[in-house]
Order: sequence, then structure tokens, then C-alpha cells
Amino acid sequence: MSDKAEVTQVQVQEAVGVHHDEHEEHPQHGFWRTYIFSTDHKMIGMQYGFCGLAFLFFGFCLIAMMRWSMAYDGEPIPFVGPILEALLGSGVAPGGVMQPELYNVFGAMHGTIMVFMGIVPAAFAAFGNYVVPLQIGAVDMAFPRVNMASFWAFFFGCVVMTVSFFIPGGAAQAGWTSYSPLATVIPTDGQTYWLIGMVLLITSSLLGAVNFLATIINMRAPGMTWLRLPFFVWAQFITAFLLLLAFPPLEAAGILQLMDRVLETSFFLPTGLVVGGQDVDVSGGGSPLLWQHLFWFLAHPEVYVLILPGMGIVAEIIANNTRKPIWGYKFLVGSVVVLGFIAFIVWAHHMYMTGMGTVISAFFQTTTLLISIPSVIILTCLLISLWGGSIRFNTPMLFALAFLPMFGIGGLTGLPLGFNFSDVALHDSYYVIAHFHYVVAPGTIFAIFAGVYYWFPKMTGRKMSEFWGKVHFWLSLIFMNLIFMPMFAQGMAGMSRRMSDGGATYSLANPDNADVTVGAFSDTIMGMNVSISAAAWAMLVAQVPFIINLFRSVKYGEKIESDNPWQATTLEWETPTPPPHGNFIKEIKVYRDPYEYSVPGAKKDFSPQAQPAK
Amino acid sequence: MEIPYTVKPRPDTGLYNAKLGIWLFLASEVMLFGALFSSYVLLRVGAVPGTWSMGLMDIMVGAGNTMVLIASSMFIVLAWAQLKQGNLAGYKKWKWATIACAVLFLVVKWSYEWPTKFKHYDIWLSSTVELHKKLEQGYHLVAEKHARESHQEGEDAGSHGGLAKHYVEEEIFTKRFFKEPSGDSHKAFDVAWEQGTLALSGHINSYEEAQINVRISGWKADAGVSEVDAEKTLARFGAGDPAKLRKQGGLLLEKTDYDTAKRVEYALGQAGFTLALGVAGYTEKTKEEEGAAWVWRTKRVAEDIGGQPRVRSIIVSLDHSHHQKIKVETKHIKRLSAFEPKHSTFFGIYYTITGLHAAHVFGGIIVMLYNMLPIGLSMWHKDRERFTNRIETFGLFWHFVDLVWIFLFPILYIL
Amino acid sequence: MGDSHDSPDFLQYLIRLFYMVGGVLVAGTLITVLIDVLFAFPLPVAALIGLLIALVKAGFVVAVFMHYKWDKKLIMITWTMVLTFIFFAGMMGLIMWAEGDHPQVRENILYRDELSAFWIVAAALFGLALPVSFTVLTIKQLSQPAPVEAAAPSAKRAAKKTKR
Ligand code: HEM
Ligand SMILES: [Cu+2]
Repeated sequence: MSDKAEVTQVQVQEAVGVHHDEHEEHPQHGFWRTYIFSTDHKMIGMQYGFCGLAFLFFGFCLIAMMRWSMAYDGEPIPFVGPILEALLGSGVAPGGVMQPELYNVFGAMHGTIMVFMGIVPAAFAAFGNYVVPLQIGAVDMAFPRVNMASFWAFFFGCVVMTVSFFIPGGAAQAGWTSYSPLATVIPTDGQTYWLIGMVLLITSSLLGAVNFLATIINMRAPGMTWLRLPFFVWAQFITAFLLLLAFPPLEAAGILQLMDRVLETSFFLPTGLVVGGQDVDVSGGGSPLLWQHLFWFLAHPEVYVLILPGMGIVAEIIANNTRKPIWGYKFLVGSVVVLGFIAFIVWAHHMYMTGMGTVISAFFQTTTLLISIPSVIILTCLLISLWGGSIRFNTPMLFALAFLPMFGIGGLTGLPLGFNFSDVALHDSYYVIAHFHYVVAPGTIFAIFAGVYYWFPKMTGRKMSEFWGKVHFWLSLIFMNLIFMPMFAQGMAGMSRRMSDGGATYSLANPDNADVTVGAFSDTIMGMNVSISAAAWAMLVAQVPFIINLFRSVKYGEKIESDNPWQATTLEWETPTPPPHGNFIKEIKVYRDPYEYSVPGAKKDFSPQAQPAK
Repeated sequence: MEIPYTVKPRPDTGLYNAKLGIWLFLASEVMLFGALFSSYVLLRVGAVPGTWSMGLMDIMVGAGNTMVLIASSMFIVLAWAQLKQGNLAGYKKWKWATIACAVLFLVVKWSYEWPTKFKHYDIWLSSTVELHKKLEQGYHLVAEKHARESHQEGEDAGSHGGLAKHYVEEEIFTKRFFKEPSGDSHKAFDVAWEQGTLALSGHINSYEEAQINVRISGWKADAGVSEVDAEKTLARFGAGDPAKLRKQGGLLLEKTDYDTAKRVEYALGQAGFTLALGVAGYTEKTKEEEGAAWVWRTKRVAEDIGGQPRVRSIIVSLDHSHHQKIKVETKHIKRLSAFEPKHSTFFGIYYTITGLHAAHVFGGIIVMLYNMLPIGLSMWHKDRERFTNRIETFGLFWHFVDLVWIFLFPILYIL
Repeated sequence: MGDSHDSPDFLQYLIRLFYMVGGVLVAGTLITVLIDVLFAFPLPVAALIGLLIALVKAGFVVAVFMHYKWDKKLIMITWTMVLTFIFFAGMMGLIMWAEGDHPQVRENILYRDELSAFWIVAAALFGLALPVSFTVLTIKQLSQPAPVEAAAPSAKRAAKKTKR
């Protein structure tokens, strides 16, 4: 806590004549209760944030190693190869060379970690926990202890997932989608660990979602009507609904798959299944397609879980740094509500190629194309908001601005995937990889960065370095695009995803018949593997300034002069810095819409929500 | 810091926090069980005709359990009503009644419903000819009797084979998979009969298990066990001359049972010995006294011991055959399973849904007990309204658990 | 449950109601069993009857035991539940539909029934109708005039001393 803020707090208390008893209001819980088993939403938010960022980094390291295998298949990985061999055994990394099994393990875990242990905790849980109660003027979440339980369920889920790397046979190998029968018949235990880990992570998200919804519905400060909620809160609200209703089917599916693996049932195993030339000793009669339905029923809403908090963050920052109200606040709210609804009825667009039938494809194709409309409305509103603003180009704003075109590319390239005739060619290719990474990586992850730079002063009382922030931004932006743009080309050339040699074998001429080449790729396409990998490693290096900046600024960052360094209007800036247990030290009442910047006639160019109208 | 609306409802939403929270939680529970019900429907609709078991459940037990849950659901809401009137003693009375019902429900499941199923086996054979032979053996007597009693003239009365086949179709196959005979059931039976996908269904009476000779074939000095210790281990298992046995090998145990042989194999393996197990003969054993449910698995029965199976044959008393016993040889067994989850998708989903439901009941019992303990009741003495709310909230959960069962009962027991 | 319903008379009335509903539920169970024992309906009919009775029972549990009937302000939750149920039913329907449309092996040939274009168009229109109707609902909801100032009374704030 900065000295400045402490003074402010005490002064205010004296001013409002409140006797503030340190021991009762803010008991000295000691280290464990304050930092580890805390029930305070802000501490839990930071715990989530820390874990989330750490796992994002870890997941990124995994892919960095995989990219070596794709670019230089069969060669030992420099520097980390020996470490891999020492940690995971020479079975999977002899002499530091990544074997295909290890590639599969890393691939499956990269997806799982990024989605369920990286972005969901960082974008949804961390910012949601820290910012939402502040923005609605609440003292804490509705159920602080449930909140803690939610974090610990998450934490143990992460522990299970992490431990699974080191068990014999390694972690899960069947992709983040864990399709049966493959996921069921893989003999190593990693897949079982994955399921147990997922059940824990899902439980955590469900508890979190209930808590967020109850908080937003029941704990809004007086005057904080639904249409005065900052857009970020709306985004979190819809996200929580998505989690609440979409996760349980995956939990059910996870339980069924666990039964398949542990008790040898055959929910997802068809009759007459033959593995490795041998009949499998199961009853059969199950449906592999059932898994896909249950999985995607979660996982499509899940992709909106990944993007909506990002959109919320970006909206906050754009409003703040253009110094004018968001254009079309109601459109934004309406779109996000509609988006939440449609997100539930598009899931089978991931399954066009399963041969599930024309009628059902027609249904899902229509809904999929419709869902892009609200997305485009949101994007458009944010773009128009820039018009005529006197924009402050600080680091959070740069990231927020970059979000717009990046998300745009990701969303637009989704359209060809949404038509089932074009998806036939593009499905499971690098095009799909590029599509969703554009939405999630330069999209959501940039939004997360923006959020970190933006709310860091509230959390610590200090700003992060602008200079290094900008270095971080420009490097990230450039390398992101160098990584993902070529993937569109690779995908359209027909390169499949999930190949440990980057498609080299697939690309070879058919040895039996020299005239026939199997999926031959030009040198340009194959060469991209190397350039993409190089960009990925550069991207890794580009995160170093951020990491150093983050930790250094906690202690040495520039101190902020007031509790509201960005001159923002929303309620989180009404608190002392950093906010104490219980958040607000004065009565909070809301009088205004969320983004009253540059109100004609006002003294300052921003009118906080809590400032009474004249 | 005090969180608002923990006791009094917020005026504009009309809810206090916990009630809001529990309704939201229930929404997610609806999706959880909804997904399982959907899976049930999908698996059932997609099942090959004549493979989805029906009528294996004891409807009376199911109905009894349904009423027990209904009663408990009523009791909990009465307990809450007593609290509303400020009557703690009344609350305790109804609460104990609720707990008793919940426990009864689980006990019926745990000690009666499930265990009886674990003892009932289906055996699929790899050869159609063998299957027909076994069915004939098992059912020809009852089939004849049945035909006499009902004065039925089968298509080819007189030939035993026809009669047994007819009996199996009518009394076993159709009743189990279709309830009522129809064109579909007839067609499905013909397919199952021709392709040999019918199962022999009944209880395992006894079996012929291998008697095993355990022979020492060598000893490795580099296993990290000293000669003395290795010989001591040998002596422990009854070797007359451990030193000689260690050096030259030879027979250690003769005609011992499977469990001992395996224990010896493991212990001696640790001590550096290599062993050869061989089958000396088979003895008939009754599994009854051990009472172990669901121990029989295809792989276990067929486990290879020196080239021969662990179990040579099992003796089964078939359902509806007046305890006619037949002997099924392991080499003909394709798959064998009790009515356990792996038996079929029907039993899989049955155990999954009822198990998950039972887990909810169990969790409920824990919470209820907590609310009866002094530590739980202390809230009543501090803040009556809050405690009443807490019981109301728990009640909502409990009614939901009842609700799930209300749907489970017709779906699993009747349909 | 609203405060107006806390009067002792009303509670007595409620308790009587609870007993009655308990009776109804038991009766429902017995009827289900009786129907199963006495009649042999074909499966679809049996399923319909069984589920209808279960639905009625469930209705009673929700309305009375969970005293939903008197919690008038649960509109938000009602919507969640209704939508949830729609998702669930819709999902069930859709995946069954998908399953029914599988290519099947007949006489060793992978065979798929040719569907008339009608169904495809109908499915697409259905896909159009769902989002559009929800959008219309949302727009209606959003274009209502803003509610009058701050319905909720001021909450106890952090700075206020706690009672203890
Ligand atoms: C805006 C309109 C969007 C459309 C029309 C769309 C459409 C699609 C389609 C049809 C696929 C399946 C491709 C295939 O497997 O053949 C797909 C994959 C994917 N999309 Fe999108 N998408 C959109 C937005 C998003 C957003 C906002 C996200 C995430 C934040 C996202 C994340 C993903 C992911 C993760 C996958 C791949 C899943 C996998 O197979 O591993 N998409 N998208
Ligand atoms: Cu999708």
C-alpha cells in the first residue's frame, strides 16, 4: 500500500467520522489467511491472475518446444533438449529429440492449459474477481468462502494436470478435445488424470459462475441499475451464464469418459471396435459422436467465455482513453446478450465432417452465420467509439486498439469455416488453427495485457513502465502476426494440424509411384514452418520485458498521485489504493451512466458514476 | 465488513443471496442431469434392437425408494415450517426423520439393489454352435415342461432344439429386451440366434480352477539379494532344501492354489528367482462361500498359466431353467460380465446416473448432520432468521434431488 | 418467501398443503406402478405416460415444496430455468435427429436416405428463427424506459461499524 493512499484512507475516515478499528475490520490474519487462504475477492483475483499468467507462459513454452519439432524434426532441441530428457525420461526425448508421443502430450496439454488453466482464470476469474465487485460498488463477492473454494478447486485441478506430465507414459495425448474412442483406448494414465483434472477445473468454474451471478444480481450498489453497469460487468455476467449452463454437460461427459476408462463401460465406444488389430473387451453400443456433442456443447460457449471478458476490458479502456462515452452502449449490451444465447446453439459447426447429416448441418450453419452479426456489432461499436476522440496512446490503449483488427481477422476468417461446404476443405487444417488463435492470442491475450497495464495501479499503487510496455506491445504485435498469418496459407494449402514433423512425411512423394505425390507442399509452404517457429521463439523473448516490468513495478514503479490515475468514471477508482478489505470507505451511490466522459458543461472531462448530478 | 442481503431479501430482486445462489446452482444441476438424460436417450435410441435390457429392475424396490425420498422431501419442508414458527424441537424431529429416510434410501441401494446385480452374470460365447448347444442343454427340460403345460404346438414340436429355442425367445429374450412379443422382437431374436450374440444368463455356481506347480528355474545373484536371504525366502515358502533348490532349481510347490502361486511368484521374483508356473490339474471350487461379487472378468478367467487358462470351465445355473446347471468352457467364452457398469451401455448409464444421484443424497446427509450438530445449530442461537434461511436453502437442494429421482424412477425402472 | 406470507395462519395453511402434496406424490408413484403392472402399452405410449406423471409430480414439488408459487420475484431464475430446459430438450432433440440421419450399412453398402430439400430448408429456417426471436425479445427488453432511480435501499457499507 502506498503511503499516499494510506493517508487518504485515514483522512477520509476522519472526515466521515467513522471509527475504524483495525483489529475488527481488518484483522491481522497473518500470512496464510491474507495471502493464501484468503476470502477477499481482490486477493483471490490476484491469485487467479498469477496462476493464470504463469500457466499462459508455461503453455507457451510447450508450444515453443513443439515448434522446434515441426521446423527441425528429428534434431535435438537446443538448450532445453537435455532438460526434457532428464525430466521426462529418454523414452520420449532420447538425446533431447522430441518423439511424436511427446509432441502429442505437449499438444494436448498446450490446448488444455491455455484454455482452461490460462485464459479462463486470467481473463474471467482474475479480472472478474478483482474488478467486478469494485465496479458494481460491492464490499466483496456474495459468497466469499465459496469464492475461496472455487480457487482451490482450480488450484488442485492444475496440480493434477501438472503432475500428469511426470507419471509413466506422460500426460494426456488425445488433444484438448479428448475425442473418444482414441482418448478411451490410449493405455497410459495421463488421460485419466486429464479427466480428473477437468472435473476439478469445471467444478471451480461452476462455483465461480454462481458466485459472479449472485454478486452481480444482488450486490449492486444503490443506483447501479442494469443499464448503468459498465460493459465489462455485462460481459462478465454473460460469461458467467455461459459457464454455468455449458460446463455441466462437459462435466457429465467427463464422468462418462472416466467411467469408460476406469470401469470399462462403453458410452463412447462403438460395437465392434478394433484397436491394434484386436477386438476390445468391451460391450460396445456406445456413440463416439455423443462425446463430440457433449464436448462442443461446452466448448463453443467456452470460446465466447474466452473472448467476452476480453471485449469487456477493451471497451473499458477505449472509453477511458478516448475520453468520450462508448458509442452505442445499448447495442453493446444487446449484442452481448444475444451472443450469449446464440453461443448455445451453434456447437455442431465443429462437427460438419463427422457425417452427422445434412439437416442438422443446415441448422447449425444458419445459426453459426448469425452469431457473427452480434460480434460484428460489438466490433463496430468499439470502432466508431474511436471516431473523434482525443485518444491517449498509452500502453493499455495500444493493446486495446490492436485487439480490434486482430479480433476482426479472427472473426471474419470464421465465416468460411461456418459454411459447411467450405469447411470440408478447411476443417482440421492450419487454417482453423490460425482462425482461433487470431481470436484468442492477439485477441484475448492482448486484452489481458491491456487489463494488467490498466488495473495495475489500482492493485499496487504504482504504474508499470510505459517505455517497456510499448516495447512489449510492438514486439508482441509484430511477432503475433508473423506467427499466425502464414498459417492461413498453410491451411489453405491443405496442411493438417497435429503433425509432429510439420507435414514433412505427408508431403513426401509416394515411394511406390513417383508420379503421384501425396499432399505435396511447396517449399514456400514448408518453409513457413521455420519462419513461424522463429517468430514464436522471438515472441517468447518479447515477453521478457513484460515479466520484468510486472515484477519490478510492484516495488519500483512510478507512484500514482491519486486514487484515479486514469481519470476514469467507473466505481473501482472510488476506492483507496489498493482497496482495503471491504473496498469502499465511503457510502457509494450511483448517479450516472458508466462512461460520462467530456460531458458538456461539466468542470472536468470525466464525471464519475458516484458523483451526484447537480 | 458485512455482506448485504445474507438474511433479508434484496427488495428489487426479492431474494437473499443464498437463495439466489442455490437456484443458480440448481440451474447448472439441471444441465448436468439433463446431459446425462440426453445421453441415456441417445444411447437407447441408437442401440441395436434387442440389446437394451428392460425389466431387470425390481419395480417394487424402486417405487418404495421413490416414496422414501418423497417422504424425506416432505419432512424437510416441514422442518423448515417448524423453524418459521420458532420451534426448534419440531425442527429436530422432522430433520431426523429426513435423515432417516435418506439413509434408508442409500442402504437399500447399497446393500440390496446393487449387490444382487453384481452376482448375476451374462456370458457371451465365441461360437454359435456352442451357444446353441448350451442353450439346448440348459433349457430343454423346462422348455418341454412349458410346452406341455401350455399345450403349445411349436412349429416343430418333437424336436428338442426347436422347443428350447422357442422357450429362450419367449421367456428370456423377448421379456428382457422387448417386454411384449412383436414382429420386431421376433426379427431381433432371429438375428441374435443366428449370429450367436445371445448371452447365457445366470449365476455362477462353481468353476474349475487350476492347481499350480511352482518350479524354480534359476536365480540371479545380481538382483541385490544375498544368497542367505534368498534361501531364507525359499524356506519361508516351505522349501525342504533351500540351498539346493537355489542352485539347481526344481519343484517348490505342488498343486497349490492360484493365490498362493501368485504370492510366491511375486515374493521370489523380488528375491531374484525365475519361476515357471504350470498347471497340474483342475479342481472344482464353489465361489459361493467367498460371496465375492463381480470378481469374474474375461481376462481373469482366461489368464494364461504355462499355456493353460486359470479357469478351465465355469458351471452356470441359467435363469428360468429351474437351476439347470451347464458347464461352459473357458475356451468358448468371448466375454463375461456381471450386471456391472461394463456389462452394457444400459447398465453403464444406470449406474452412472443413480450413482451420481446417490452421491448427491450422500452429500445431503452430511450437510443435514452438520445442521444438527451444535456447531451447525449455533447459528440458530445467534441469528434465527439466517438459520431458517439456511434450512430453506438446503431444502431447495434436497427437493431437487427428489425431483431427479422422480424422473429417474420411470425412466430406469419402468421403461 | 415474501414477508406478507409469514403470518401463523398462512404457515398452518402451508403445512396442510405440504401434507397434501406429499399424498399426491405418493399417489402419483402408485399410479405409475399400477399402470405398469396392469397394462402393456407400447414403449412410446408408456414413455409418454410415465414422463407426464413425472412432470406433474415435479410441478408439485417445485411449486409447493420449493414454494416457487409464492416467490413472485424469481423472474430472472424462471427465465434461466426455462431457457435451460429448452437447451436441454433442444440438445436432446438435435442429437437424436443427427443420430437418425446416419449413413447405415445395408447389404454391405454405406447407404444414406435421401432427404427432401424441405427438411433442410426447414432446419435452416429454424436456425434463423431461434436467434431472431431471442434478439427481438432482447430489443424489447432493452427499449423499455429506464426504471426509476435506485430501488435498493443503501446497503451496509464497509465503513459502518459492525454491530458486534
Ligand atoms: C465470429 C464468428 C466465428 C465463427 C463463424 C466461427 C466459426 C468456427 C468454425 C466453423 C470452427 C470449426 C472449424 C473446423 O474445425 O473445421 C471454428 C473453430 C474454432 N473457433 Fe471459431 N468462429 C467464430 C469466432 C470464434 C471466437 C470468438 C473464438 C474464441 C475466442 C473462436 C474459437 C475457435 C476455436 C478455439 C476453434 C477450434 C476448435 C478446435 O477444433 O480445436 N471462434 N470456428
Ligand atoms: Cu465454435
